Amino acid sequence: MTTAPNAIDRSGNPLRAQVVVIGSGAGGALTAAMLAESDYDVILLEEGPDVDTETIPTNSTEAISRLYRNGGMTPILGRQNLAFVEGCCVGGSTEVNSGFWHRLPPDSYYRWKADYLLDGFTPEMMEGYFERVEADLSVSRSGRSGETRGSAILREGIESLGWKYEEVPRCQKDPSASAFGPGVRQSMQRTYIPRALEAGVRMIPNCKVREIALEEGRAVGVNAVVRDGGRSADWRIRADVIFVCCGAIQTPALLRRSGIRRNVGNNLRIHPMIKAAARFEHEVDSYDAAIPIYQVKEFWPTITLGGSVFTPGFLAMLLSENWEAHRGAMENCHQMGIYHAATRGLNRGSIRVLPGVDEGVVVRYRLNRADQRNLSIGLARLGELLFAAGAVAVYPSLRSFPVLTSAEQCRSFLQTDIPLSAMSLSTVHVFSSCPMGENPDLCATDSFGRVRGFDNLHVNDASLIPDSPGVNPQGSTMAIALRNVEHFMEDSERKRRLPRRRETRMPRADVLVTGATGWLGTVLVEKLYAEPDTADAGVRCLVSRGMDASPLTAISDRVGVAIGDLRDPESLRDFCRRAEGATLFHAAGIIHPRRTREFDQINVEGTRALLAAARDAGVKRVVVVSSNSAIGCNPRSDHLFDEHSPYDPYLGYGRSKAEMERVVTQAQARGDFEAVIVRAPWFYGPHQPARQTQFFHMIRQGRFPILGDGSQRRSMAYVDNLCQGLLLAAKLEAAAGETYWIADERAYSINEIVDTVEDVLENEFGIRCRRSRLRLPAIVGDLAQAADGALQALGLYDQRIHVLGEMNQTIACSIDKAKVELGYAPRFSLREGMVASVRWCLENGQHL
Amino acid sequence: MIHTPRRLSQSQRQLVAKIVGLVLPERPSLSAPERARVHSAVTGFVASQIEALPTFMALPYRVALLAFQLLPTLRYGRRFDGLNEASQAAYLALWSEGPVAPARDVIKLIRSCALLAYFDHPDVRSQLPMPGGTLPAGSAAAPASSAP
Repeated sequence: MTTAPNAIDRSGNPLRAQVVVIGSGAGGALTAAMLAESDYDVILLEEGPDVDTETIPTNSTEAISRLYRNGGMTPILGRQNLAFVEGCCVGGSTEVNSGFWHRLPPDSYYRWKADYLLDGFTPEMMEGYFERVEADLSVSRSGRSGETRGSAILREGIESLGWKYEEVPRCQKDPSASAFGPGVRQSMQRTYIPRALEAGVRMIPNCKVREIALEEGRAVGVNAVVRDGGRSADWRIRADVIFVCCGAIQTPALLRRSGIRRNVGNNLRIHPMIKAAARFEHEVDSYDAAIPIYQVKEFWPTITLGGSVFTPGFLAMLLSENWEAHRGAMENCHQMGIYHAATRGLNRGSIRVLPGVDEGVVVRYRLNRADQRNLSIGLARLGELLFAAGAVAVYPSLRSFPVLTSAEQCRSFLQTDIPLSAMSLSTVHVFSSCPMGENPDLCATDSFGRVRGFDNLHVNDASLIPDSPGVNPQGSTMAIALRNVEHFMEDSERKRRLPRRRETRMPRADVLVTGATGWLGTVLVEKLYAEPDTADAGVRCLVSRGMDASPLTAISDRVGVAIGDLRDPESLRDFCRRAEGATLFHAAGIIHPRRTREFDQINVEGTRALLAAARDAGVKRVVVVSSNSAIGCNPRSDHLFDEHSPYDPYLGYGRSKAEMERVVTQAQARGDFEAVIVRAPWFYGPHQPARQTQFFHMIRQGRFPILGDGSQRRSMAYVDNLCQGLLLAAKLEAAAGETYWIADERAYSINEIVDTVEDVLENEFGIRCRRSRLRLPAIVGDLAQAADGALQALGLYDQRIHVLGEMNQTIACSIDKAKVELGYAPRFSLREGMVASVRWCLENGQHL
Repeated sequence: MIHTPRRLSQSQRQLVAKIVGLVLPERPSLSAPERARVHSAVTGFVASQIEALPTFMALPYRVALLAFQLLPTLRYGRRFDGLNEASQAAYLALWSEGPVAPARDVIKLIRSCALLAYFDHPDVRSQLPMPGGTLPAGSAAAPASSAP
C-alpha cells in the first residue's frame, strides 16, 4: 500500500481538489474510487496510518496498537459501559473485521420509508448496488467444503436444537480459506483503495480533520493536522465538495465540531454484544483464527448467535472477569472457543464533543430494560447452544458468576435478568448517528446523504443507516454509499455544478470568461454567440463554487464551465488549460466586500494569478474590465475623464483597480500577451444584482436620496453597450496595449437618472411611483464619504455608506477614443436600457 | 485546545510494571530471562494502551493511578511501591475485587490487557497446549473486533 506520490502539494498553496473524502473505510474508499473513476479530482484523507495490514507481525498486541482507534478501547458510556472497537488505519474497520457480509433485511426498507420518509430506497432499487459491491469484494460462501471443525461443532449444535441458521457470506477470494490468510479477505486495502489510487486519488494518511471550513453557508474545505513522525503540521485543504465518511462515531463528532448539529449525533444505534467461552471435551480448531461461519437466526432480529475470533490472549481477557476462579481453563485452551450473543439495541445513544479538548469525543448509550432482557436471553440461548454442541463448561463474560455446567443453568437467564453491572459488554456495530431521509425532525441528511442546509457537504458511511438493521452493517453501508455517490454524480452532471475535469476531456477554449455568472458576464457570453465571428467559439467560463451555471450552459452547448476562484491559483491554471491563442475576458472582481482586504486578494492578487495562468497557457489577448474608481471623481460637474486622466483612486476599491491596471500594463509590456483595459462606469441592464433592483425600489417608494441639487453627473453603461465595447476591444488588433472608457453616449445627471426610471416604471409598465424625492444636503454625502474612509482604514466596509458617499460626486467620462479607435457606437439610450432592465426584473420575479 | 500528554511518566510506567508483575500468572512456567522479556513486552503494551485512552479518560485514569500509588500511606505508612509483595497483592485485590466499581475498572484495564499480551506472547504461546504455538499470519489483525 502506498500513498499516491502527488499527494502533497509542496508549493505552499493550500491543497485543493474538487472532492475531499474524509475517511478511507467502507464508505470512504468506495466513494473515492467511484468519483475518481468517473474523472473527478479527489483527495482522500485518513486519520490512521498507511500500513499494509498483511505485513503486521502475527502478534495481536501490535495489531491492536497500530490499527485500532484508541488501542481498541473506545468506551461507550452508560449504565454499563461498552467497549467499542473500530479500525483507525487506511481501510478503516474493514482491515480489522471478519469480512462478514449481510444484505439489508427487507423489513428495514419499509420501516425506514415510514419513519424516516426515505426516498428512492426499495429492495428492487438496491438490488443492483448490492450485486455490484458484492462482485467487487468477491462476496461468497464456502459451503460445507470450507467448514472448519469449529464451524461444524456449532452447526451440529444448532441442528440438534432445530434452530434456524445460515452460513454468512464473507468478503474473501477463497471462501474455503481462513479469512485471515494472506490475500484472502477483501478489505478496502485489497479492493477500492488500489482502484482509487489507480484512478488518480491523492491519499493522505495520518491526516486528522479537525473541522470543516464553512463560509457563507457552504463547506469550502477542511482544516486538518498531518502527522509526520513526531511532528505535525496544520493543513488547509480546499474543495468544491466534501464527503464525510469517518464512521458512525467520528462523522457526527466532526460535523458537531464544525458547528453542524441539526439531528447530528442524537440517534446512535448499536448492537450490544456479550461473549462466552466454551470448553469441549475434545480439541477444537479455534486457535487457527477461523471464525465459525454459521449464525443462529432463530431469534433474529432481536438476537443473533455466532462465533468470535479466538486467541489464547483473548480467551484470557474474557476469563479475566473472574480470573482467580477461571484461570485454570487456560490449561485447556486447545479445547476452547469464544462465542457471542449480539442483540439489536433498542435505545438511542448520542455523540458529543467536549469543547476545546483534542479528540474529546464522548459516546453515550444507556442500555434499557429491554436491552438487559435481550442480553440475558441471548446469553441463555448461547449457553444452550454450546451445550448442545458438546460443551462441558461455559464461561460467560460476567463478573462474579460461576462457570456454567449445564443448559439448565443457562436457561435460568430466560427467567431472571442478569444485572447489567455484572456484564462485560462490547460492540463492533454502530450506526444511525446521522440518519438519512426527508423527515426533518429525525434526519441529519436528505435521502442521499446530503447534509441539511448544505449543497456540497455529504455523509456517506454507516452514520446514514436510519436505525438498526439487525445484521452486520458493512454490506448496507457500502451499497448505500454506492447509491449515494452515483446519485451525487448524476445530480452534478445534470446541474453542471461540478464538471469532471480530466484534461483529456476538456475541449479547447477559444474564449475564456471570468465573472461569467455575474451581471455583465452572462450578457457577454450571450453576445459572443450572437456575433458571427464567435458564434461557433468554445467559451469556457470560470464559475465560483456553488454558483448555478445553468444559465450559461443554456446559451450554447459549446459553453464549458470550470469551477474555480480568483483566490485559488490552481483552479485558475485549470481554467486556462487548452486555451492557446484564446481571448480572455476578465470581468470578475469584487466591489462590495465584507472586509477591505478582499479588494487586494481578489482584484489585485487574483488578477495577477489569472494573468500568470493565462500567460502560461498561451492566451493571446486579455480584455480586463476596470472601473472609473481607479481615476476617482471629476473635479467639477462639467468635467469629463479621458484616457489621459491621472490615477486618483477612490478609496479601497479604486486603489485595487488602479493596482490591477498596473499589473495588466506590466504584463502587456513584458509581452506576456496582448492586453486591453476597458474602464466601465456604473452599469445597468438585465441580470442585475439585488442592489440594483433595490435602486429601482427606492425610486418607486420616493426614498432614493438625492444629495444637493441632483445636478451631479454620472456616466453609465448599459450592458449591451459595454459588451459591444468589450468585443471590439478583443477584436481589433490596434487595441492591444490600450485603455478605453466605455459607457453610454453621454453622462446623465442624477435627477435625469431618477426621472427616467420613474417614467419607465409608470409609463412603460404601469407601476405607480410616489413621485417624491428624498432630498438631502450635500454635506450628508461628504460625511458618508468620511465615514466610509474611516471604516475602510479599519479594514471594514459598509455598502450603504459607500454608495451614499459617492452620490454627490460627478463621475463622468468621454468615450471619444473608443468611438474613434474601436468604432464603438453605443446603441442604447438610458431610457431604452432602463426599459430592458425593468422588464427583466419583472420577468424574473424581482420585487420592485 | 487541551492536549493531554500522551506518554506515561517514568514513575507511572514503573507503577504499571509493578501491577503487571502482580497480575501475570506463573504458568506456563518460563525461564527467568524469558519471563523478564515477556514482562517487559507486556508492560510496554499495557502502557501503550493507557496512553491510547481517549483524552477525556486519560487524565482521570492517571489521577486514579496516582491515588492507587499514594493511598497505602494512610494504612501502611508507605506508598504502594514501598510495600512488600504480599501487601501489594492484598492491596491490589482490594481494588480489583472490592465494592468500588471505578477502582475495579482501573485494575480491570491493566489486568485484561496484561493477560491478553501475556498469552499472545510467542514465548508463552509456545508453552501452551496448542498446535503450532504461534499465531497464523494475519490472525492478530482481527480478534478484538470479531464481527457477528
